Amino acid sequence: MFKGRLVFIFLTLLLAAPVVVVAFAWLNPQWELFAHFADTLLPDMLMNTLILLLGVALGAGLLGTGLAWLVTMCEFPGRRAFEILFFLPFVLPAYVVAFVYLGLLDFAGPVQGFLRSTMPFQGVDIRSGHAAVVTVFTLVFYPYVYMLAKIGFQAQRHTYVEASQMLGASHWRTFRTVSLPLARPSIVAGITLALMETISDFGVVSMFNYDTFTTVIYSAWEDYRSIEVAAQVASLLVLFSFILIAVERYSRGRAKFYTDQCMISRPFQLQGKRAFLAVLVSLLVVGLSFIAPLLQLLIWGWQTFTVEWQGQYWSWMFNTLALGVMAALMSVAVALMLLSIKYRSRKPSKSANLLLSFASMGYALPGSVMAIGLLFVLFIVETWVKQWFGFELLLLVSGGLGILLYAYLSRFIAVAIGPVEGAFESIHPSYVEAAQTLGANRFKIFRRVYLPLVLPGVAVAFLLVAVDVMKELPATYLLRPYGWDTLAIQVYELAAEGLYERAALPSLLLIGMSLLILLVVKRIELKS
Amino acid sequence: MRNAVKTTLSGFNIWFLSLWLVVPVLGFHSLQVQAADVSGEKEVVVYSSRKEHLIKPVFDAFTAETGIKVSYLTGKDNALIERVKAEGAATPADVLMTVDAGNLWYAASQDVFQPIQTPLVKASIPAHLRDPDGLWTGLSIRARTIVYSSERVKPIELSSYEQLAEPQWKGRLCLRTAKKVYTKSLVSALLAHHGESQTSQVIQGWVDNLAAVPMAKDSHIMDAIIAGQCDVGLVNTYYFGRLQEKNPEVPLKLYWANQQTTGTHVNVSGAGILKHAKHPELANRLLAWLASDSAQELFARLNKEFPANPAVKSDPLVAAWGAFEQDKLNLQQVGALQADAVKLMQRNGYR
Repeated sequence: MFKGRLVFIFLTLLLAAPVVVVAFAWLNPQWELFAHFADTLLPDMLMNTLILLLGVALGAGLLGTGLAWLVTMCEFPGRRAFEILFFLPFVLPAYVVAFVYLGLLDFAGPVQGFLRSTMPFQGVDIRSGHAAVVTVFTLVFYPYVYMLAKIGFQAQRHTYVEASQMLGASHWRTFRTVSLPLARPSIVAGITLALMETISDFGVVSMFNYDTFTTVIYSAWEDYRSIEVAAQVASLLVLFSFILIAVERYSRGRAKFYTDQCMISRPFQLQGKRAFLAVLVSLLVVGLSFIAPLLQLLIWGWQTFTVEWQGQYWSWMFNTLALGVMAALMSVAVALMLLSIKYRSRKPSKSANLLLSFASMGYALPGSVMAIGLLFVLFIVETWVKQWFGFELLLLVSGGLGILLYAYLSRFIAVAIGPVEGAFESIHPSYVEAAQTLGANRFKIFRRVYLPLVLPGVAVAFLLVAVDVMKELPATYLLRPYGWDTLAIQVYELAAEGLYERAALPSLLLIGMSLLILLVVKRIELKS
Repeated sequence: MRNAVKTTLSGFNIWFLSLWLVVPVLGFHSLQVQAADVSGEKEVVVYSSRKEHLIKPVFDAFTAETGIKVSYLTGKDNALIERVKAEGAATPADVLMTVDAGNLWYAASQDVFQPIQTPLVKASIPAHLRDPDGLWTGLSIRARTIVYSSERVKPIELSSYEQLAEPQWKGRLCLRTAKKVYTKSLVSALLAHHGESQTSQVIQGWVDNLAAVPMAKDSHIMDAIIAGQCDVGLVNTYYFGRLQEKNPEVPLKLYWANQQTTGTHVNVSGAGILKHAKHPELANRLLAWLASDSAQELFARLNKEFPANPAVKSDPLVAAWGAFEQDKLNLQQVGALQADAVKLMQRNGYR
């Protein structure tokens, strides 16, 4: 074992608690309902989930890796702008993209309407089949892969690529045999995040009426009012995500690459046809994934502004931002604590890895299931306290924001651990040794060695968690204290009534807040 | 050397631990604000799954008339009921307001309500829209009926929900997803009237006639009919009302289903008083006021619904659709049959 293990174990258990209690539902299995699901929803659901995951892994993996390679290894016109633009779809809530795309592209939308009126086109129901759902998820979640793959590529030594080229390898061969294997852990981590987001989604799949794992969970809960069965099905989801994370951690293998020099200049200068192609592809991706939905929202927002705008939006904006920032600060702090304990010893132990996978499971759980799990944890604690100390704790009422923040922490810690761990991995022990030899004291080592090296990872973690929390709906909706309504809630309430045009305003404000955070984080990053 | 790494990192730890502790303090601060808010004297607290933009104007009118403040927290039906249960005796909420009889029935079955005391509710709201034990009451009526393309369908071709399962509608029908509570309640009503095997046949017929995958929203159904993807569909009337308000020329018409037989299926949005309400008298006053003529008019008009109180006139746009015979099945029964209805739909592949 390793030093500080008590704190480590306590923290990981705390994070995993709302997820783990979900599995306790198996104490009371209801086979009858399971048999019914097995007869009806299960075959379609399993097939759909499998196709969806494969599709998103492939789509987001290829797109994210390809774009990341393009901006780190190649120089072409507009590269600097695209580098940021490729990341932006991340600030769009998936359910918003889903209703925008459905509105534009379904049978009754303007695109098919135009096609039908100008050519012999019958029209198609884009909600049937798998292509549309996979495409939406790919466009929304590829930034996870992009961002992490970019870090992976950037951390590579310039000289590796040069050496490969000098030995006469083609661009493709260099990519395949040098860059890709070196960036593989980051890419796999990115794909894992994208898959966990996909499998826990309810908003997009319900918009497309596409049955996945979450459909069955919701059917058990909403249709049959059985929280037990919902929890039982959800625990299968948790098991799946645990395996996914464990595989991801294992696939990193024992290989460890320290960087002392990162990609400064780009080895490939694209010119002529190739540069043109790069720009074209980039424009297409940005146009489809970001500009088109944004444009539609702007048009709707403009049309409905006078109906929808009210003074309350100020407080909703404040709440959204405050929750995002608070949850992100907490998540980053906890991730730093966990990882600084893990990396205390030079050879991190296997049990630390296992515990970290354990703590990260919550990300694949639909927010509402996680919230219910949390209610159950509160119930257990309250019962104990009452039994041993004889007073009512009533945590849900007295806990205030704390309960909601705990839920966020438990759900999104995986997003914080990823980038921070990447940063820790890149710290070569020789730096600290060198600083020590030069007579630097503890404080100075922290300030001059650790902080600058960890900061980029911390900034990314902060950004990801903050944006994710601001977009989060189900847990916020269920656990927020009185007076803590957010923009995401307003988007949902309007969209649920089919008032998509009016939902554009809160969506745009939400996107604006996320961009604001992105901007601030970028500035901090540049300054360091 | 190893020591140095270790000590640096423990410095790191303390630094961030303290940061972490600051945050819940902020949360606690908000709690104090909230507590001060809730203990204020003349205030009633409502948990509502009826959306913010539909309830706020009504509560504002109540406050203006009575001086009683209304605080509300919106949420999804099931989740709100879970929250009330989890909060137990400490719940700050006095009233649970929700849509659909199924949810009201479920809340009642979970023992979260106390009987409504005020006689004014009984006097204004018809019996089939209330819980037999007085645990909840309907406040507005929504009818779920047939909407059709006025260009491609003649009203003479239509008659009932059941008739939409006939082969003449093959490839012409659009329905909302079976996951939506409105669909579940409609099928529960069919189940109550016809029993399992006949209802199962109707569902199978519907599924065979579908022109597209069942839709997520009623508004999608109407868009699809306008675009020519299908010719008929089932919608809640207020969605049609909203569309008509935006575009009076819309080539769609409503048809009152089952006028010769059971009557058109209706459902309610309604409310009950919570068992652990801190202000039961104020809660009763709120419900009595909501059942009163002026409030009923406003409550229904905001969402183009029908007032639950039959003495109150509908909005002119709604009244123009004509009078119709309601299905008088008690809604408590509809709620109780929902799980069976979903089972039937899932067995017949209605998604």
